[in-house]
Amino acid sequence: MALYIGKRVLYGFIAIWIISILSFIIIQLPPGDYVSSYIANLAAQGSSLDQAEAENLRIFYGLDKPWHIQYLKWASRIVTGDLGYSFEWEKPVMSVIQGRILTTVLLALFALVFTWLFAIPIGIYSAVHKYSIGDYLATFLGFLGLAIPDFLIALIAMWFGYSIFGWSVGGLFSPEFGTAPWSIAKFLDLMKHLWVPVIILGTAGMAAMIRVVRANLLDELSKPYVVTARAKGISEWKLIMKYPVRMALNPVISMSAYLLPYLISGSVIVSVVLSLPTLGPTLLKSLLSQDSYLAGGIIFLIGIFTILGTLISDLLLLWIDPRIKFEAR
Amino acid sequence: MSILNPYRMITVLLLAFAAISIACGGTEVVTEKVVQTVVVEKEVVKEVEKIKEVEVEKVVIQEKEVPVDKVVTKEVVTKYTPEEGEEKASGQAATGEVAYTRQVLDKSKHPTSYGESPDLAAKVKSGDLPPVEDRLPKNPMVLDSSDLDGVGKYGGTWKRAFTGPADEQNIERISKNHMIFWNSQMTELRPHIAEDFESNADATKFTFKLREGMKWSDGEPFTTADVMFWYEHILLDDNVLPAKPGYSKTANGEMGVWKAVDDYTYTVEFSEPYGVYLELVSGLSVAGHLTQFPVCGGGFSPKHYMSQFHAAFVGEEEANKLAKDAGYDNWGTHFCAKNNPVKNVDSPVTTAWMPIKGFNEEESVWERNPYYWAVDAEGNQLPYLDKIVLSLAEDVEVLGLRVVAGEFDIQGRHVKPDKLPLLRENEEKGGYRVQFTSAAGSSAITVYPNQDYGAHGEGDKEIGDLLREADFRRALSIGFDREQIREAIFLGMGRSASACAIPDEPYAPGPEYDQMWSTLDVAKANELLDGLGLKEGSDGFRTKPSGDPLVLDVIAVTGAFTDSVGAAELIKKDWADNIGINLKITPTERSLRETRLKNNEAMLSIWGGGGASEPLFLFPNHDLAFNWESGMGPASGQWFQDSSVFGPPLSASIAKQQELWRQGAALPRSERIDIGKEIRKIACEEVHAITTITETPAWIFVIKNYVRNFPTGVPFTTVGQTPGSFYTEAFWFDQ
Repeated sequence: MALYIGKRVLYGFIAIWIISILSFIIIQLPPGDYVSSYIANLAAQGSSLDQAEAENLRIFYGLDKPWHIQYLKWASRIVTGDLGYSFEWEKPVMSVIQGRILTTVLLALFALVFTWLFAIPIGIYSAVHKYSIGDYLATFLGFLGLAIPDFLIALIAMWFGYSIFGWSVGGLFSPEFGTAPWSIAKFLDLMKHLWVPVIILGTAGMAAMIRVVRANLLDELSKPYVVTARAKGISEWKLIMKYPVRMALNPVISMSAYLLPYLISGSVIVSVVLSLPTLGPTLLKSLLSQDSYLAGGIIFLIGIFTILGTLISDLLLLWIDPRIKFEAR
Repeated sequence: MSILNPYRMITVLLLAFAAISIACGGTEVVTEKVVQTVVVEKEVVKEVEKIKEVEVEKVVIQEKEVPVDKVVTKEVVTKYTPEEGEEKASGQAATGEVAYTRQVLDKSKHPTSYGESPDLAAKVKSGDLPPVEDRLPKNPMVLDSSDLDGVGKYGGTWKRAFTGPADEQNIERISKNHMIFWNSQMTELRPHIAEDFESNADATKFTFKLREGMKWSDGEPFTTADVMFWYEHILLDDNVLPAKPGYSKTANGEMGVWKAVDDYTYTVEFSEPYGVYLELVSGLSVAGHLTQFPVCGGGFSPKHYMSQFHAAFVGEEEANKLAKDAGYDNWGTHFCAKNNPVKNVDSPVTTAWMPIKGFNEEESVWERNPYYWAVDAEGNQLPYLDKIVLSLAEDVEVLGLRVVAGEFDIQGRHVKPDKLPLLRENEEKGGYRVQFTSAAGSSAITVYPNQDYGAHGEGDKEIGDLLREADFRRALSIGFDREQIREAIFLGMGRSASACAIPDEPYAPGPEYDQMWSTLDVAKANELLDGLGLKEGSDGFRTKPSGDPLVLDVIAVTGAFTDSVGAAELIKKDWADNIGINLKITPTERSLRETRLKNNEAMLSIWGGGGASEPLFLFPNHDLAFNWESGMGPASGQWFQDSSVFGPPLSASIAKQQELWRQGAALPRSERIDIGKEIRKIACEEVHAITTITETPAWIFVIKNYVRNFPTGVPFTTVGQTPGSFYTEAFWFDQ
């Protein structure tokens, strides 16, 4: 077991190293660099930078060096836990994103719990009552949730929130708590705002999860061990919950490993629309302004999240499904 | 169960792919959101005045005792009768009556006793601050708002929104600290930090007089030492500024020389006439410590604070150590970051509000500067408003909705004109009003035929030769209907006109140029094209003189300004239907536009400008082939800056404009009006730019009903750093 985990961690490091190179190449792909996007931004506002001033900026930011030198500089810092320096924010990448990591993870966890809380029971119900009105209704609503783009729901929710309930538009905090230090009042304020994005992000993943649970459970329900158990007279509720549901949850767990990276990268649009202080909008903006170390840092973090999530989900699977065993190699 | 199994790798690759698609393809969609933010305020901050090889036409000023451009001496401004020149200029596209906060220049009318805000008075009482008389300079700037709502009440927090650290201009425009500045009309130069300024007769030497007793926001005296510190240890230090910015150099690349005469007087001297210099320092890169981006411009810097980061003061080793500890590569970079108060709140400032939380936070907070050097007509120290609080909006749409909800006190920046119906609908509920500012004549969508195209081996020379034909450009310009662009893109606002359309702009050549080559005339256009020997091909489109198909390609930046791709589609259809010209539209990302222009690869390009809202001699990028950004001649523009690249223009009219501009830039303001007119005439007669709709009231301010002293009928300009030109320190809330 220890050997297995050790191996996985080692592979994880290799993957992270590859991710760091990949993410750096990705940032270099679009034409230009931070300075040229900065100049373009100024030009769009009707102003311009002197050629000499632009040159100074490139030297300041080390953009006059070839990309592999820039990468080495960045990578050597990462080893020490320093994600580099954001051009645009003029401060270390870590201090730009650390406040946002918390809100991102919170949002992800709540959305995950929300999805599970609704999708699993509905999935079970749909499978057990196959082709009933309830099944069709759940399926219909699930697909509706899947089909409507989540940013659209976000926009509509925001407008109703403002025009009917008079909420402040977007964001995760009321203005007075925005930058206040953490307190119970602030946490409650967060809870007040958090449920909207949680529902929006949760519903998007719900339909898929309902279908997965339903399909898996249907497979399991017809298997001999269920028949055997039923023949032995176990109550229907206990029978379903104890055996086939446990089997059916298997993919649910492996799916959830991807939720964290999904919530950062896949929910960018929702986060932008709702103006959530999460990593998503920061990633988007840093890519647009070609703030390479910031974008690289975030992509790198997402990579780590993915690898960590995968590791955790594999370990969870191991624990929940006794059929998975190691082969001693 | 290896991490490297295909399943896992696919995930990682998918992730990478998603990021790539955001980084590359996705930008088109997203830039739209971000870029459109700029529609509302057009701005010029850094302007380049790089003149090469000026043929100095010596200005002979005959027996004038008053030095040219010594604006102060000719000022006779009394409280209620505005100076003649100012009132005259008000006829422009102004909306409503003209009223704004003025500077009281007559020292005999200055107040003699001073008041202060209650919070500062309390601090004086408790001994935390010196009394107001000691905090103000001997001669503070006196602002008179009696044309508006007059002397105000202290208090209130100005709530605004910003979109992130790159939005520095948001605060720079409100909290100005220019050495000299403009009146709200943008017609006259005014004292600002400098109490007085003058130029010698041949515009080679400029003298600035600081306000005696003026202080930084931390209470340290502000003297010429701060100016000389910037000159000697920033501008001249190669570790800080490896390349010397254009504003510090004359036409031949000679650096200006700064000299301190005494604690409050300094001079800037150039080896040849630099007539435009005073205007240059009134709104550009050297426009003050706060307004300088991270490029160490500004013209002055707090010596007592900044010297602790400078190698010349603490030694290179120590300076580098400080930089490394803070995460910078070298001390020069570190120094410039520290010198930017918008992101380094520890730096003292000279602006009306001082930073408490910078622009690299989730919320930016600015508080009243207790040492601000301006008072109202009754001697009350400004600003009236206690604080400015800017909240971060990740997205302009959210920002727009918050504006509609009435969450901000005064917000013009990032409010898109397409929100207008929604804004109007909610005026009452949100407790605000919508005010338009007159946007001078610049056409927000202008097509630039590149007259350098194919001249230097890049692109089709035959098409380039056509683009150099004035008749070809004229035919293009009168070959489409501007009205439909006005309706579809500008919601029926503005009017169609040529690049000479601004009646009040000093360099406007006259009313007869207003519509020149800018109204639809299909018959005439076809006649011109026939005259050039462009025959109809088998596909119904005209061919090149050689008989090959003629396809014009236009670069339209996605998302920038107004909908330039949409406008291009309208023009394309008209050209096809009316004059048989085949236009291909290439939607282009912003950075790529720069590359294409710099490489002289753009055949036609769309950008704003032409009939500039910007002074011709300060920001000529879109008026003549001035630099890479000049769509009518990006190659000869670069040659104009640096004669080692590309080559002189093939087009005679472009060459003529460049020559005239060089002459004009060396002259003092009053002497160069005719030259400016000549440059504009050429632009319109020769159709250097195909303008569409001008005077669109694209700049909207959403103002809470309790806001006072907000001017009306004054222009929105980038050189004036509007709303800075409104003298924001005189704003107050009647709550």
